Amino acid sequence: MSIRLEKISYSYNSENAIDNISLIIDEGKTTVLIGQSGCGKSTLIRLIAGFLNAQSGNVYFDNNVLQQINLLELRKRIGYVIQGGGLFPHLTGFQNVTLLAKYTGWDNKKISDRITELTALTKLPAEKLNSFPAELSGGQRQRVSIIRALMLDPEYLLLDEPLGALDPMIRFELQQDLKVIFQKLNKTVLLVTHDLNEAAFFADKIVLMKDGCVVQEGSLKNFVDYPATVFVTKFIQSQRSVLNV
Amino acid sequence: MFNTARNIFHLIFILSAFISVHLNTFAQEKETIKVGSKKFTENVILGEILTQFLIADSIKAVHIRELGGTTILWNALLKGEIDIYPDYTGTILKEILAKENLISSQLENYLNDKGIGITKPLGFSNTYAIGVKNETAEKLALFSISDLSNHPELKFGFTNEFLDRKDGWPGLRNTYKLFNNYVTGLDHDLAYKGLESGSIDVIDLYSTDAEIKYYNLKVLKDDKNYFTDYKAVFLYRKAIVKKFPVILKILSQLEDSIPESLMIKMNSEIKINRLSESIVAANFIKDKFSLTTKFKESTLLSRLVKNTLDHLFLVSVSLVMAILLAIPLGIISYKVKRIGNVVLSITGIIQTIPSLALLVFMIPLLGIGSWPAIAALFLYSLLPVVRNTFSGLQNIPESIKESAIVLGLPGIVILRKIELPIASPSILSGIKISAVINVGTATLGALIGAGGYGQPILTGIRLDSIPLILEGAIPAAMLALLVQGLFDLIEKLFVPRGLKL
Repeated sequence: MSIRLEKISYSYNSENAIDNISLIIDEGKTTVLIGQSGCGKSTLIRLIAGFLNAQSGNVYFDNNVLQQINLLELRKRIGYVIQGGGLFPHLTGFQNVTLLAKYTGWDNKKISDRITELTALTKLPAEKLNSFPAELSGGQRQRVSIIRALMLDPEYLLLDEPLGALDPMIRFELQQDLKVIFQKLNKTVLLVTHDLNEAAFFADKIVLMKDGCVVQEGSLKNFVDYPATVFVTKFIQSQRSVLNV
Repeated sequence: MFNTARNIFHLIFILSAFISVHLNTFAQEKETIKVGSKKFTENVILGEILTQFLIADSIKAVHIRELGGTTILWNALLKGEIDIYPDYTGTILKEILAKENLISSQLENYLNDKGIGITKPLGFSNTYAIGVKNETAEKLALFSISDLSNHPELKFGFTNEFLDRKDGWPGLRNTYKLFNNYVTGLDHDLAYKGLESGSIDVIDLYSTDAEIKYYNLKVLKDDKNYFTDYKAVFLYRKAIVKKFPVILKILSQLEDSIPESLMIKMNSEIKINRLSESIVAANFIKDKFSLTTKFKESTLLSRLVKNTLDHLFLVSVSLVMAILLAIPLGIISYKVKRIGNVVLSITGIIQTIPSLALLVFMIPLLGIGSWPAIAALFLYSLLPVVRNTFSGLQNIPESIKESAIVLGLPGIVILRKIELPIASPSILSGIKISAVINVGTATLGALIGAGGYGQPILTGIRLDSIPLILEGAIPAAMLALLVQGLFDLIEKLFVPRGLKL
């Protein structure tokens, strides 16, 4: 259940382009895409989610190549969380997370069992699901969004700057909880961030991008000890820890 | 709002009941002689006289009053929307049939070929004339129209129809070599006011107008014999007198029965003494033929009820039809940008057509009455709804659109469950804008026989009666407010709560 990119290229302007990337996102592991803004990391995750079509190359989910005809089916096997949550403002939290399950034909018992399971997992007080997104805090919204993404128990989880817009303390708490969730569920996770601390915290493998190319992939230790280019070192140094100030 | 199909069915049910009531009255009219009249007092009196006379002879007849100008009446007669209406020989020869270049002796045969009959003259002639205030005439020594050519400073104010008619201003200007410096078009009944207040100096007159005497105006001599004879006659459909031969008998009784002095007196009873056309017509028939006629003098309440029903009919039917088309058009415009550009441009262009012109364009296609007015209102209602549906969908944040897509729901489910509900406040406000504009624009429908609140306004302008104008204007304004309130309520009920937080 890995995701495999094979010689993917995409460009709509000079920025955010993708230049011939091949990459494996390992099954059951957390892979983190990192880079400066404009490096193409968001473009890449959107190519994987099928919002954009690569001009050349293929994306494989397991052994299925992503294409227009199997898009709907594949997407049901993908959970997707974006910055701010992307919740539907006219629906309550409950309606947000159950929309797809109801459409798929789940009965009420199955739905409520799954909700109980997921609220516990994401540490969201169950009654919060009765609120509309506008009535929730940023952290709660993101937890609802994660429940929505996990509802049908997808094999793959794509997260695009999921903690981007949160206050530092809420962010810290949610990072802890999210890491536990990833470990418990054992899903194939791809997370995009610009924060090296966050990347190091989550990642089984970090993928550093620059100008639409992968500069280096591996562990943080690997980046520090064997930087592929001067850019890698600079990128690490630029994200100094407060304790070293 | 979109899961409540039940409510939509309700609405459609109410509307279809509404429409069927209207069609019923329409079906009844099939058996009824329809007398039309133009929107000036004398023509209304003639129409009313004939109608009452027909009814007194146990013929079912109805008077469709104040149907705008010559073009509208003539086309309505040709299409059989009305059966008889009063007109003038000069108008028929020089305006309606101007291209044919007929002389008066050829008229009857020509009309005959078109299935139209013409009566002998009713007695009086209502010629165009040119008038000025007596003091102006004295100060500038004006006696004939020729004298006007020495005074380029004079401001002309002419009836709109006169300005365009071939036997009107264009010919007059050429014949008398008049100046074109200050010429404005205005309503005939308002022209007298303009003359009185001094904002204009010279106006066109109908020679039987009661105001000539009342305002003590100087009628300038037509020294070059420009204006032809405008003898009053009735035009009728041959088919209808074939079916009801008694109509011909009644028409022949009216021939040569109204001398000019009497016509001026009747005009003046209405415009100066404020009697109703029905009473004046009844008195005429009683004096002339010793026949007592029955007519219903409408009460304020009965008029208000009828005008309200007519107005609601125009507004609701056109609005519902517009909504049913405009929301899908807005959706298509959003989904397919290239079609969207075309749709938005076309509806935008329709919006720029002056409402009066659009109404008149509809007559050749749909005749007179409610339906052409509804068609015009329908076209006007499209743009706000299309545009707001489009922009409501367009403005949904990209993050929400992507979240919806990535769930793996089919496009139609996303549209129904996510996109349309989120766009619903915008769509509703588009509908609200259309509805409020519609209530105002529908007052023009009275010009083509659609009734509604425009009817008393039109009559009020003609008779210079503020109470009558208010009888249309106040309910129209109240209806607009009511519609606004209704949609605020609908917004409260139908816009998902989560969007209002």
